[in-house]
Amino acid sequence: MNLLLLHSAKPRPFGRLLLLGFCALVPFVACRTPDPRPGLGSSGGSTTSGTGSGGKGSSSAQGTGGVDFNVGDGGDKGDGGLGGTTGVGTGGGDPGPVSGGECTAPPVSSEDFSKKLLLESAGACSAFQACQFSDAAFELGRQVTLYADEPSDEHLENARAAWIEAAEVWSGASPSQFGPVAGVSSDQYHGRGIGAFIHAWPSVNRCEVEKQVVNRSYEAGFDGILPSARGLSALEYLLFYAGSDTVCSANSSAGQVWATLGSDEIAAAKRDYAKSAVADLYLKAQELVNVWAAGGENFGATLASHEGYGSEQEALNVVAWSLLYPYDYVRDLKVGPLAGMGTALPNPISPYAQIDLETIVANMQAFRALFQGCGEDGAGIGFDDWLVAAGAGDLATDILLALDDIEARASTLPPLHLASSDEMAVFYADFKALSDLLKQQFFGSGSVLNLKLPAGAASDTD
Amino acid sequence: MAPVDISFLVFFRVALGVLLAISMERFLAYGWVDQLLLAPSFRFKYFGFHWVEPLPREQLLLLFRVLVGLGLAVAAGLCFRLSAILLALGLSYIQLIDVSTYLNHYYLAALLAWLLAFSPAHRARSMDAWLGRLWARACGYAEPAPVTQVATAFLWLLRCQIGLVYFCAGLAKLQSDWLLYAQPLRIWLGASTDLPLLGPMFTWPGVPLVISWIGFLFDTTIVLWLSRSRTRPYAYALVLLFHTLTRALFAIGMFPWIMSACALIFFPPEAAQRLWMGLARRFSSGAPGTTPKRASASPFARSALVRAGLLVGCLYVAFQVVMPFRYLAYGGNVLWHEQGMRFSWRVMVRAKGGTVAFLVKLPDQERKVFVDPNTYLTSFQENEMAGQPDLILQMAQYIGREYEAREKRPVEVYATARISLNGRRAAPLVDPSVNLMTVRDGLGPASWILPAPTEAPPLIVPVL
Repeated sequence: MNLLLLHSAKPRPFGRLLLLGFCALVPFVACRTPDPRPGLGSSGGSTTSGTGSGGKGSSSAQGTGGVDFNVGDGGDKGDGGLGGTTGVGTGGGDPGPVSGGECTAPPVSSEDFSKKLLLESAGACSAFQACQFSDAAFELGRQVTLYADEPSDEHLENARAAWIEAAEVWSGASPSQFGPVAGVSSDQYHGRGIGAFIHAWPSVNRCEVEKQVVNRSYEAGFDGILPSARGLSALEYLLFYAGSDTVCSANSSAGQVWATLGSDEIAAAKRDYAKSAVADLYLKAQELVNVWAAGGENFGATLASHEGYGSEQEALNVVAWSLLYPYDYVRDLKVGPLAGMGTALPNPISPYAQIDLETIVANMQAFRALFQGCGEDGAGIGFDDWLVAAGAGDLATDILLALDDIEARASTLPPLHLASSDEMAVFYADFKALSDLLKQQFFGSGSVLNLKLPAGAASDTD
Repeated sequence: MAPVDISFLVFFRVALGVLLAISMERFLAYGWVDQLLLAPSFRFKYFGFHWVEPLPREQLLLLFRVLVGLGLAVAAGLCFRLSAILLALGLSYIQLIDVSTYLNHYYLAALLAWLLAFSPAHRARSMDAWLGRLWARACGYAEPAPVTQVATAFLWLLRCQIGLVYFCAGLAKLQSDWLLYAQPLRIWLGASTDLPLLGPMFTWPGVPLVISWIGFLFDTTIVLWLSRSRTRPYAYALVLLFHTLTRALFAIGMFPWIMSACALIFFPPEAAQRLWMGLARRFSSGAPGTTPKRASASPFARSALVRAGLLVGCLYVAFQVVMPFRYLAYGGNVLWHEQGMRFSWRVMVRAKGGTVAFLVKLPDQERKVFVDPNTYLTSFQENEMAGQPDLILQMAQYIGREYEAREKRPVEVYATARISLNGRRAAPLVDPSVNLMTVRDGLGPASWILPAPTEAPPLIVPVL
């Protein structure tokens, strides 16, 4: 176009300048236009994250307590499932979405494999896991409320047992880092970081919990309270740590208030915060149930149609990145520091209840559910079916064998805080064998399914 | 050789300038300046260019913005010689920062920028030409005569360059993985089965193999069809179709558009002029212009400077012909050992990835310390390093030097690298018993790289 003007007999400076301006705009306009494959080449985050970026507070304006855990009626377990009668009472503030009903059996499909079916199955499995956790969170709420209202050794033991159960159930759900439960670093399209409010590990902070214990800002609502001061990690500290010391600096406001309280006052304040924190936890669990509920956000349909992901392959990429959980989190953050491998400092997921090994076992059950199938012993549709359909069944077999080795090894280990570094080194090697298989042929440039590594590797290619 | 119409060179200047400006803007828009160039704490270096380091962040971002402007200036032919040389320098600098960011089309962009920088592409239809006439008028001088022709050598230089890219890319597909097993195309097509109309076709038996052969035949013969007047229009339509499809299927950035624009070099040099005159006739009421006649060779062509330029051009072409074939000196499978892989136009011919771990043996100790490269590398770099032995060697020696500085004694460094090529089971890439601290990187064959696996790649099936 500019050549036409330049070719004319008389110079037209205004026209040339206009054209130059147009040419200057073209690259910016063109580059703002999405590439034909939206979702690729993004500048999003890199690793799967169990904590996401939930930020400060949430939208649930929950007051102190605020959820009726049926404590006074003899202890019927509330239903946290999808649909049916509500198990949530009212108290101060918004009780959150209404849900109820029994959790259905784990979804197991016997249809022929398709990628859409894989997305559907992954979503259905996450919905089932959310339901299970909601049940466990309700029972935890009931036991913690009982303990808070009538403190006794028996009620404390029951509350601790309920916490362990809830933590193990969550460990079986938390590796599924896609959709609203995930942070934006794991799912930049639909991540909302709900998971961070349920369990903030590895970003836990005991001082933040102790601040809430003494300053009681939670009584005005949980908006503005950091994930590191809430959820399962906070409840573990409140239920399992019997000491009356604080890690907050003596010069801090929390430290100064703490110093004025006697041990009985501290214990009572911890029980009060536990009662509110468990209600907040339950509301988050219900939020998660609502994400998947057909009458709620129905994210399962969104996932199956890869809406917002740009392409079916990109949706599968995001779901598949959950399979890196054993590599990013278990191997490098849980086992590695105990084995003297890597650079991460020891940061146990369960420093007080000391159920790290049980959480790892549950993590690997979640891996099997996503990779092999959500049903018992891996029945159902999983990524292994995709490998088999694509003609790479050998790789599926190798991955499952590596998974079996990990589970077998875990069954022989003592609690991690009692295990020797040599035992941890061998356990680490088991995880390395699995993660090597994933990185050699399942993900990345050598992937037989063309599954990309998380977005930190995005670029043009040739 | 008679001079030719300069129109082709003007078009090339405009197209390349705009495309390079867009390319630089893409880097900024996608955040790749930070992710790829600034984020790494360790960078892989080209042989002889260890001294190249990235600028501080603000300056590097400014450089990219300047390169956008330079691309547009080149397109407009404004301060052309200076802007073209600076653009070529900038593109070269960016690539030299980190080997792991090497892409064939970045290399091509830099080469074309250099070729353009030493051409007379600004002599017609440019801001420089217009400003020159303005200046002459203002000073009362006679206006310089419009330049309508340019030495034929420039046309053939560009044709050789573009032709070599296509032909060598085609020859790179002359191997069993591509032609017999349709790998890695089977893997890549499997990611696009949701494309409307085409996607399901990828799952039909035999389709990946047919597409592999189409790709091979396209790359190896398209220059021939573009060179013949009867087939040229159809061949160019095929070029557009091919590159549009590859852009839709693969994340290959600006490469399809650069090649689509560059393929026009095979049209007659005066074709652009004819097109512009036709459009001018259609949109203006002025007297139509005339197609310039071909002039005979002028005495200018015989000057010493021109002969020297021709010699340099011939040497350049010879270099570009030899470079892609240097892999023959190493034997084996170049897709595996990568000696002779870069700068050879092996575009989209392998799916290769794996894991690398390093073991450091401290002096007087039996045990080895396991070192995970993700301590030093971004996930992008780690992914790229895994399949490139020379990068594994660089990483190993960097780790070794770190430990030696700490221990104040020599250490030994070994690498366990297991790599999958085109869907095969992972196999060891480098000899795990070789102390990489004793290896000197160079141009000779590397004995510490193990032979490629011999089994055929699996017949991966695209699945709906």
